[in-house]
Amino acid sequence: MAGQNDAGIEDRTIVHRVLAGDADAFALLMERYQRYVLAIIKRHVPPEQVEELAQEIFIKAYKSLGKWRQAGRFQSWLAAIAVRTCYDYWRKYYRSHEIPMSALSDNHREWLERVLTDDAEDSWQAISKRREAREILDWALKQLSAADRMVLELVYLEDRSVKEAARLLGWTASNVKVRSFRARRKMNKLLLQSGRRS
Amino acid sequence: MKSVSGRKEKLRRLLRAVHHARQEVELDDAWTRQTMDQVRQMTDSGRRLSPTVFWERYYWRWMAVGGMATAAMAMVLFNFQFVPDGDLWSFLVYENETLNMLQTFLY
Repeated sequence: MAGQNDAGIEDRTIVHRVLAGDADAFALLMERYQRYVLAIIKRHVPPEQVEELAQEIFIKAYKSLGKWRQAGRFQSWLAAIAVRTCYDYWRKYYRSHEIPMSALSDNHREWLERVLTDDAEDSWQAISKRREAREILDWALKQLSAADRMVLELVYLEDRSVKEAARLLGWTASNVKVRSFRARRKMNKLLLQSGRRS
Repeated sequence: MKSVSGRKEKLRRLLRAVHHARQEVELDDAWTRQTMDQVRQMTDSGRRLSPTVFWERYYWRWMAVGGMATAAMAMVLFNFQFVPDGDLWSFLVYENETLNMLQTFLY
């Protein structure tokens, strides 16, 4: 159970201890949720940023521990912090980096076309591990804004409900719905049209 | 040739698989130690309440108070324009005058 560790100490109890001044007790929470936080952020940010962002997430959680409404699950609260931190990362990234408007390379286009038209449907596990597949996804995501990127990853790629994505991002459900629809359309246009040009 | 919806679905499955197969990253003990050091450092500095923390915490409150004070001051200065030979003392003492002026100003 996520709320308890081997010793059976509840998250709530640990949070009380930390808030009472026992900062070392926070290490228990970090140990408990480290893998969970990593599983979230590794999908949203480049691997070389994961370590730094994980640290930022736990520091943010520590700073706002008093704001955790203890009726909810600590894990869900931490997930929202993690997702919003990833979103902030991309916002800063797009502000400080110029993203060149580049087209998908011919090799990638051909590879994608082959995969999409192939009726044999090889194992998705094997295809998804191909370098080309990763590069195509990264290229397409870079063509989107930070907000579109996050919402697309949460709703379209991770199959989370609109309600859950809205909670994680701190947006309204209608905003998530509209953005996810637009982002999905843009992604299809980018990849399916570029795939057909060959 | 596959239908558009078939291609879209296949693309979605491909992208989802790639997204879920992202590289695993492990955090070591050094990372935990470093993060905990930062947490302890924050706890210590939090007890001393640095000026930065103070301003950060009350920033919007100070801004609101500052804004209201500026508006009040502007109103007082503006009203002085309608009082020939008026000084602050008479302005403050003649309460009725002040209220009349405020009403004139507002309506």
